[in-house]
Amino acid sequence: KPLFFDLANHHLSFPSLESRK
Amino acid sequence: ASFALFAELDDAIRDANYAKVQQVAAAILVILPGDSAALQCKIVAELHANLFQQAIATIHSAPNPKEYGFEEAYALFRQQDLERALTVAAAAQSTPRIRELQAQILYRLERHEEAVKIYHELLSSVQDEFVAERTTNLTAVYAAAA
Ligand SMILES: [K+]
Repeated sequence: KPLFFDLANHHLSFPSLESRK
Repeated sequence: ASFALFAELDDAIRDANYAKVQQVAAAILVILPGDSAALQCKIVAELHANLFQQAIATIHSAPNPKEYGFEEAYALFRQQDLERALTVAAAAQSTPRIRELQAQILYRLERHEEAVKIYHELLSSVQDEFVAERTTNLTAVYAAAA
């Protein structure tokens, strides 16, 4: 089976919380 | 009162402590139901913890579930619910990350031509740290189509 990366996983991002602290 | 919890949440994110992120985000949501940032944190932490069904439940509990189209499509993709993943992705706003997820879903569905088209589009428009991996994925699609 050829190599295939789950790049979508790297696009899961947490929001910035700077303004909420 | 939520300031301390958001500071705690930020620390948990920095530590990549996903169980703690889920726990603190849930505590914030008790005080601030529907809070968009807390929901996003909880959903992303659940996805990183491979809790796909839980992430979908959290998305469906949100005031505006459509805001989390990428996350929902990704959860469905990881659950091998590929047709539904494609439907949810198609309904989401088209962004590079949605296009990348669509390419991955199409590859798994053996819809190679459509996947190739998206990888070409991404490789000509996106310059991020994943160009080499994206090229590898395109090679895999070509190999599967051959
Ligand atoms: K929301």
